[in-house]
Amino acid sequence: MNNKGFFQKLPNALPGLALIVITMIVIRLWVEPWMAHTKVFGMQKPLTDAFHLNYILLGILTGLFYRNVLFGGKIPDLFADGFKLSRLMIKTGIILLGSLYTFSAIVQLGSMAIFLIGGFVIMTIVLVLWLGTAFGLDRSMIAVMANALSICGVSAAVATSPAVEAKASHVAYAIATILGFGILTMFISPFIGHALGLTDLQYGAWIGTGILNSGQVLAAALAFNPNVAPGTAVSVAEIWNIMRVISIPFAVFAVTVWYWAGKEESTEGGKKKGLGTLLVEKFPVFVIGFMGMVFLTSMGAFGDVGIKGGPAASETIKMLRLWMQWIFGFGLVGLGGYISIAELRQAGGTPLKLGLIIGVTKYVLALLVVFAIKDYLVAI
Amino acid sequence: MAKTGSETLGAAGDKSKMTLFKDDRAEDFGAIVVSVLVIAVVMVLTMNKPAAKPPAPTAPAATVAAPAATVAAPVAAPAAPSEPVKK
Repeated sequence: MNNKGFFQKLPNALPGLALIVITMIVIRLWVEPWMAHTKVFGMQKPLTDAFHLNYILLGILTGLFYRNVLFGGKIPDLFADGFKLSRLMIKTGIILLGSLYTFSAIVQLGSMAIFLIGGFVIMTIVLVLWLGTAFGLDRSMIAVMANALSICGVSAAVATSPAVEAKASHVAYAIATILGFGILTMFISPFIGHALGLTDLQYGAWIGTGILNSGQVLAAALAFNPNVAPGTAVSVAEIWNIMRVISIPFAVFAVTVWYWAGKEESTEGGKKKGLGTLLVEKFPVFVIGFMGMVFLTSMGAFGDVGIKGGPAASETIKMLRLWMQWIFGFGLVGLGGYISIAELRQAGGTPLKLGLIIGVTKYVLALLVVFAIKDYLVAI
Repeated sequence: MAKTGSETLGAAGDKSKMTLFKDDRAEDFGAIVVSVLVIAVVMVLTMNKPAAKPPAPTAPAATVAAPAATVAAPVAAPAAPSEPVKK
């Protein structure tokens, strides 16, 4: 096993990083402007108007193309380390997104988000535990699926696995199922949103609740409206998603309690973990960075935020938003590179059935709930 | 333990990890450090730029369209009296 540190591996990441950066530059400086002016079969700019293609969707599709077509299903070693930086970029972008909010705005928006997100997380966990047991799935598999489907996909699945003695194959099944479903929702959600005439607020609330994976929430939000500013789809979806991410340690604990409570004494001697240990081990630290950013923004460290009706955004905030767009763009090309059609085929049989039932239920229910409470949603 | 065959797991050695860091926690700290660097660079780049101009008189978003329409009329109005050019 290779135990090199981050900085020792960094030089190896440069070719992959260069590929990602060049890809996004080409998309934003040439492909997107071309799409905005092109005429196909007599239709003026159909790629942007009819298909809602923008640099986010193009970035993901290009990453997907690299891996599954150009590289034959696997990112070559030369580029692999660079693509491993994609989650770092997405997390960095989310921390910087804190510059869109002030604490008062979060309290306004967050109170409703906490209520809805909490309700959906609890409902999903209960449903998966019940349905998984009814389907006769392995207890570890059910536990991993419960958190993967209720919170934010990959992180939750990986966070839960050591606490419930999950095998790697359980995690693989869960991840493949949620990524498969998530990819579908990532691409169809912007179309549904535009077709239903949803506002940024309604759309952000819907996908922040209904889409399973954090990266896909981000992608679906930016695909709907690529602007990064207070009140846009990404600002709403991400604050709802952050609420969900914060619940990871609590959900891990709840599912772990369920797992060990119903498990007969293991001959293999699995270790139980206490609440304190789980909370400390599983808390997503980048959320603290996000909150720190919100704090600095609330204190006026970067100047005016540019909330609708208020003073214009400061130059610092404007530049931060521009950089955020690029950072997200880089991260999402990398995310596309992690979508492996071959791996998605791993998801099959009963776990897939369970994942699809829960995923579709959550997705549709979230849309219905957002419609039901649309008059109570608070804009920021 | 079953073989994973998946690069998305972060479970079976460096080759399978989705991050260049030791684990998720290290990646979170890495993201915070990169964010601080980005903020520092952006603040330095915008340090000497003039503050943003205040916006035009503001109105709630929902009412913006109406005043715009009423403003358009007076602008168009002066043009209306101009008689059609007689041939």
